[in-house]
Amino acid sequence: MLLYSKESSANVLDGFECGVKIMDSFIHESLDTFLKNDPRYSFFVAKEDQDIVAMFVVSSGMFVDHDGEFDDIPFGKPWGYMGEDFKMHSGMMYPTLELDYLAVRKDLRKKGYGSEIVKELSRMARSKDCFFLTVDAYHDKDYSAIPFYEKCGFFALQEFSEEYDSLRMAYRV
Amino acid sequence: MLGIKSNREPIKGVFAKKLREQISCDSPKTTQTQVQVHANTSDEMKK
Repeated sequence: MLLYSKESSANVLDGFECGVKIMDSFIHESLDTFLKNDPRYSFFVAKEDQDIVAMFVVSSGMFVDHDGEFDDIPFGKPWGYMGEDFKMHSGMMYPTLELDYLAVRKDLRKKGYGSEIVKELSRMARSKDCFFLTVDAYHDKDYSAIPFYEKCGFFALQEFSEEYDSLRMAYRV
Repeated sequence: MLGIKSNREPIKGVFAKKLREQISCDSPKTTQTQVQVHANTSDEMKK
């Protein structure tokens, strides 16, 4: 069983590696600055028998229902940039929990820990009256997180495109 | 997200339709939990 603790510094991840180069670089070079610069992100580690098994970062967001389409807004901003347009967001709002980062320790990947964490995040989202878990599922020529999120029940919110390094996905909690 | 190129354009077409469908359906887990809570409460009241 995993135990979760909210942390304030990336120092707890000294020696932690997930095996995905871009993610490991981010964790050890940028995560601390990232967290200090924006307190709206919440950083957690998952432990089993005192050992760190995984890390994840979450924040809030929302979908705003317009006629026939949804705005997809990070941090619950009532207004801001959507694509190239600056506009007011008005309409029915559906709070979301954004999974900004998720990394499982390299030697423990593909053992179900990631799925267990997604289930825990679903419970967390429901307790905060969120409707969805959302994620930018990373993909490049060497690695793709998309199959993992599909397996967890996430569905795509846009067409897959090589133009972008991620696919926007959501999961109804 | 890692400083990567991501797309936060409005959600349209079939994707918006799927999102709307998901919003309108109740979460099975939530419903199941609520039923269980009610069942327990009912049993306790009988005692």
